[in-house]
Amino acid sequence: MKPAAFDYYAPASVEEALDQLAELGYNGKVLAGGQSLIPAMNFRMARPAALVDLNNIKDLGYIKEPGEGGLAIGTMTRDSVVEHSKVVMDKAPLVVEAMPFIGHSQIRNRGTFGGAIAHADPAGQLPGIALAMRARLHILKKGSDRWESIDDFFLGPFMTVIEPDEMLAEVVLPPLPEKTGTSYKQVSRQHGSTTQAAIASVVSLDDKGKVASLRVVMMSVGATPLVSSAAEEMLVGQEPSEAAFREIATKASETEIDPSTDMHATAEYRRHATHELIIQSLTCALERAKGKGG
Amino acid sequence: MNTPINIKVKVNGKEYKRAVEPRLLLSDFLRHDLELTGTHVGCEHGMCGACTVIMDGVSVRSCLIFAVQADGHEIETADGLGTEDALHPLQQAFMEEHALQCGFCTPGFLMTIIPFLRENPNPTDEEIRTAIDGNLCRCTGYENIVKAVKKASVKMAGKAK
Amino acid sequence: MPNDKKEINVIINNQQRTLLVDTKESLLQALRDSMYFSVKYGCGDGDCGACTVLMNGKPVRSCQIKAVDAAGKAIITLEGLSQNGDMHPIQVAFVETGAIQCGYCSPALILSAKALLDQNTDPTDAEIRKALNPVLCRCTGYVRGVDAIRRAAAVLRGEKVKAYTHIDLALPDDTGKIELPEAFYRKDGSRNPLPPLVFTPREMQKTLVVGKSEVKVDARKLALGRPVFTDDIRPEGMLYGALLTSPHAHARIRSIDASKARALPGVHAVLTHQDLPRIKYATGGQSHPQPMPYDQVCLDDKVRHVGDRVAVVAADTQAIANKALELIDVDYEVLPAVVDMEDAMKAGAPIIHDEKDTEGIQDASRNIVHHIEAEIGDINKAFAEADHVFEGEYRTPKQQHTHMEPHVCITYLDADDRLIVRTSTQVPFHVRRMLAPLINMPVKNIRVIKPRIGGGFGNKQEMLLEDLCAHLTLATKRPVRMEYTRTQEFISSRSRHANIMRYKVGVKDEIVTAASLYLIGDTGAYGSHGLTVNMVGGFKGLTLYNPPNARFICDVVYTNTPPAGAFRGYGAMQCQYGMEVMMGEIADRLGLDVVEFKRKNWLKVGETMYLSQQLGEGREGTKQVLQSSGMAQCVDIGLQATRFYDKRAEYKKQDGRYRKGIGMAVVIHGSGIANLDMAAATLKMNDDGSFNLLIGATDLGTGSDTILAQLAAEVLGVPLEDMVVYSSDTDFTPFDKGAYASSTTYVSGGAVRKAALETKRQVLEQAAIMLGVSDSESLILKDRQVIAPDGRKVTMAEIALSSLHQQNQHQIMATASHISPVSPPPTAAQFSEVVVDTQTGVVEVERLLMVVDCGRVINPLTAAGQVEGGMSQALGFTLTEEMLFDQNGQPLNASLSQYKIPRASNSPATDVIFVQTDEPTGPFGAKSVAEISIDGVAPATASAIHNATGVWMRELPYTPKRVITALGQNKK
Repeated sequence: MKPAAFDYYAPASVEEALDQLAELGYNGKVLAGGQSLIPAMNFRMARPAALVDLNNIKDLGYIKEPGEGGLAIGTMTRDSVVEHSKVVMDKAPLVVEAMPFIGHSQIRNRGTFGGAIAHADPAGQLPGIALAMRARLHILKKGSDRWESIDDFFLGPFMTVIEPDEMLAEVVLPPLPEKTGTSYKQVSRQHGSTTQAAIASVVSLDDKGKVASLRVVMMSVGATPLVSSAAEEMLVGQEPSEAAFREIATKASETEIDPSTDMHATAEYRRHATHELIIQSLTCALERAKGKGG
Repeated sequence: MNTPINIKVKVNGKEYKRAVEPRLLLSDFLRHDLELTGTHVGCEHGMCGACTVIMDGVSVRSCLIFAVQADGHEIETADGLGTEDALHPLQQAFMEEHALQCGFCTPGFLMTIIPFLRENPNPTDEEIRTAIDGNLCRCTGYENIVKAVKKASVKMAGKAK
Repeated sequence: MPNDKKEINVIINNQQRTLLVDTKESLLQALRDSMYFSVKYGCGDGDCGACTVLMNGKPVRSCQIKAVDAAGKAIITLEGLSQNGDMHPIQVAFVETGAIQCGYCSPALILSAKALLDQNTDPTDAEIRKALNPVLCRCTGYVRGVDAIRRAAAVLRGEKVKAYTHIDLALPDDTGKIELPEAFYRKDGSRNPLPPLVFTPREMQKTLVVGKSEVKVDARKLALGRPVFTDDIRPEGMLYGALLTSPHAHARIRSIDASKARALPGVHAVLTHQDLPRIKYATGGQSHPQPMPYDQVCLDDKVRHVGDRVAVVAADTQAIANKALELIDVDYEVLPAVVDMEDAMKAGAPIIHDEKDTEGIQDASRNIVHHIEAEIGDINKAFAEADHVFEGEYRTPKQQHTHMEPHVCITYLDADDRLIVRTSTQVPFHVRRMLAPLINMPVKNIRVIKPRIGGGFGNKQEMLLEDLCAHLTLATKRPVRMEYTRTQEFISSRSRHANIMRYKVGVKDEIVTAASLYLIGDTGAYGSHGLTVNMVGGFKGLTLYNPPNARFICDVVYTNTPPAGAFRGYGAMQCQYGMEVMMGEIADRLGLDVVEFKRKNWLKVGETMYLSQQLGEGREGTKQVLQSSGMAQCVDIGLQATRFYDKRAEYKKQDGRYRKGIGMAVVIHGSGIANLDMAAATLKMNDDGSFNLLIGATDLGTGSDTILAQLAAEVLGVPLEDMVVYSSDTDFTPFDKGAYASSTTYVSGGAVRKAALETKRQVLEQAAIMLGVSDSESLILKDRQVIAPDGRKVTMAEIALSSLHQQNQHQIMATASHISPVSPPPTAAQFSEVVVDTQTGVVEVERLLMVVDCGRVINPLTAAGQVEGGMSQALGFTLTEEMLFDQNGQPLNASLSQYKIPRASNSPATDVIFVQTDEPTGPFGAKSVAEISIDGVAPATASAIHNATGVWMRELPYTPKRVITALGQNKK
């Protein structure tokens, strides 16, 4: 047996799951797709006392278009479903663009959209994508629920505001304004392996071609995915230009990130990569934004 | 709850009832409990693809799923692919195209490619390469695997007509 | 937990274990299922003791104890006796003394010894034999086992013991006056084991490894009880096979309904004659083409003996398989049966083989399988011209081999869908060839593996389970194991042909000028070895005294009894028995000294064996001349060791209830089948200068792996430990006909010697290059090195490394084959000393001595082991062993409690002396030793009983009833 022993619960409904989480408290851990948790358990780096497996709960996997626009994605929606969804491609192409970078097809067939966000791996794609998309998160606990903004969600590596007796139920991606372009750029040693650095950009233009709003998220260069304030400060209301992108890239990579050195990359390389990727990503997002609705 | 849990799994069309400890991985369950050794274990953390099986029609890493999670589900493994008398066209193509050398990774490739070809019966070389991206092979350099998939796709498409 | 399962706590080998056991299963089963494979199944009835373990320090038979009753007890199995492979002194002693042959009963003997020595540090011979008595050993005759325990006791008492070996003496020119070590005269009447004594003619070339009493190469693992036998592995997913046997001696199967058996949960296959193709074959493992008739099919719609095959089952457990057998409904049309071989030939007897598709039966309507006739000279004229013509009828019984390991076989398909047959066989290559057509698989897709074998004695020269086991594997695609029960060994395996011999002998001027033999051989329900056994019988019976005018007529007959087959002695034993008793009777009637009368007549060097051309084995033979014989020396030495004439003189004065007697017999045998038996061997040199010896020859406990390695080591100038022996596996070893016909030393040994000579040539060639010597023939190979004329040396390891990695790179390796145009007879003199209780008819044999010429003795200790074991089996044949059937063919003594084979306490002093000769055609002058050892005890004992009582016993075995009857008739 590779993982350490644990108690196993497989609730059939959300209510049942919340009851069990309430009962287990700090001993309980939610098992979603398991594509990060189980390898950690196989190496006994993670030894949860009990797992509450959400895979038997039918109504947690869905992609909906709520009345207010945007997308509502059930936490247990498999990555591969999201990846191949026409509506996601239409409403949130950034998500689809990032998907092939998540492991391999077999991983995405099992891994879940909400699970990856709640896992809060600073090198993970979906936490950063959710941040770039200004996601709102529906968190349930026994007897109550709450909505959290993604901006307040991450506390540190693998840490979020979700309490042990809580679970993430739904991720809402608000609608993107017209004339918005998005882009995801990543470097890693090889396809499917750990992110060394990645940038997700969302650029919205106003009628005059100036930047109406902007978000640049930097991944794998800090304890959580990071939003670049410099980018917003320097570009909103301004005419986008390559020079501006370079300036943002320099400032962000020098002052806004805290990369570390590990077996995947050195801090220095991460800084360099972030610099380059910001330019590439913004350039690409801008092109896409321009291509939309003239 | 750490005690064995009764599960019912359909593997290669046959239903198995077993009691398993929650921590038993599906890969180990297939190999040790069901003695279906067509699923190989190469890294045990989802990187090599040797343990790939088909679960409810899609390929997954059996080392990243607990056996209890297969309860009520349908699994296909390489053990069920050919018959005693005839290899599956994909296996036949692997053999003819020298798509296997040591053969250890082969079951994982087969279980990745089968659902891929169901979805995409006429793939390009590039699509094939993308499809098998999650499977490591150290012997062949993948060239002959791509050829074999191509050959099998032609043969299988012909049969389907 | 199901209620037929229970958890028990036991202490096994000083470790607390919890076993989940079936409430009904035996401790034997539970221990084997828990991987204590040293605990052996021999009979399941508590008769043989192979399953002995120590429970709370006492030896118990684990087959007779329920596993649940062992709860809380302390169990010791052989695995618990040694630590980290360090043998216990008892195990060491068993290894050193040659007490281990096949090794199947060794765990039980060693544990029995342990229990004894824990209580008694200095046991007497009688105490040792009493302790060993519950354990049956069929190979050794107990001689070395008793000696091993004496030796172990001494070691455990802290005494120093000398290296255990034989005694070497020079053979004087005049063997009429010879000095023997005092113990060999047995003046104290004890039966303490003596080391083998070897007489060597002065002119015989000295050897270094050959001729040494080397420890058997497989002895250690056997002493440790390592899992080396067929049944000591359990392939994943293995099913248990079971055989349904006929309850009737003769019946037609009207119908079989297996539906209930098939419906039983856990049953994976049930096969009846309706499920298998009807392919005719013969079970006897012989060279291609096998002798006719092909009178069997795997499963038939007719049964011809109690124990005949009806159906087979494969199931998850043995219990389920056995239960399934009960659920098979067979509707038999019972037919009249015939069990007496003379009745079988009479008009109106039931016809046993009335099927249309058997070829090669001489006269099926009279149940005569074979009619053999051979003649030389002018027999009628010779009888007419003889001074005296004597006639006598002799009968020998149907004897069962009772090797301790039953027939057992595990078959499975490998990943290439090739069929692997792991089986307890003497003939792996014949099995592969014979099996192929029965399962419709080419030979190339079959691999037969012979692991260690727990004795065979000819019974495993038959294919008895392999075909059925294979069919079950093919039906289920699963590994399947089949093992005969001990009952099935008696009713469903093979046995010695019962024979009736009618000899007519003409004597002119004290010379046997003519002899005829009419022989009836009872082959039981199937032909098997019927032709060859009886041909060999006629040849050896009429060649021992080799009259120039001889006639052999033989009918081999079917009866509704379990088939006869190959059994050590192979007809020669039966027919020499008749001839030897006849010669004794003639000497008696003519008032001649029996020894001198025989001496005048026995086969001598330079003589052509007259019938050698007519009577081959199942075919025309080749003309052969005797080239070596130590018969005269054997007789001389035996006469002196037993003080034969002194005793005969002394015994003339007896008149009490108990009468002593001493008798002798001379015997010959063969060494392989001339111009037919082929063996091959491969030698391969390794980096360190050691060699792999790969041989198809089949060591079934005899020690052939050891002596073949000694032959190779001798040629290659290395010690025995440098030989890594592997036998036998049809995928990895070259062909060998198998272990039968006393062929291994002579024929397989010939192949090994040739392979070694070629390997040596390559070694010297490499050494010549290394030493810069142009003439490799000037080099000397000895002590693991090659020495140049100028004294420079290279070691074997250096030669190996050079050849593999440096220069003239090649694998030093050779394969050689051997076949011999002759089958040189070993010769021997057998002595037997008896006490006859004239009131009860009980014959007690007190001493058996065999003085044997088997050519060069390759390993005196293992050769003596062959002779001791052969004499022991012959003693059973002489006194107690006879398979009995009622008139309906129902067996009367098909168990080891009813069928008596020698035990330790009723085994006599058993002594062996070798007189070496130099057979020019044998490897280092060797002939065979395996079978001659069994040939002489019966006629020597007949001679001794006559000496004691004046009565000639003609029908074996000499049961008290037969002796009393004979004594009564003598009085009239």
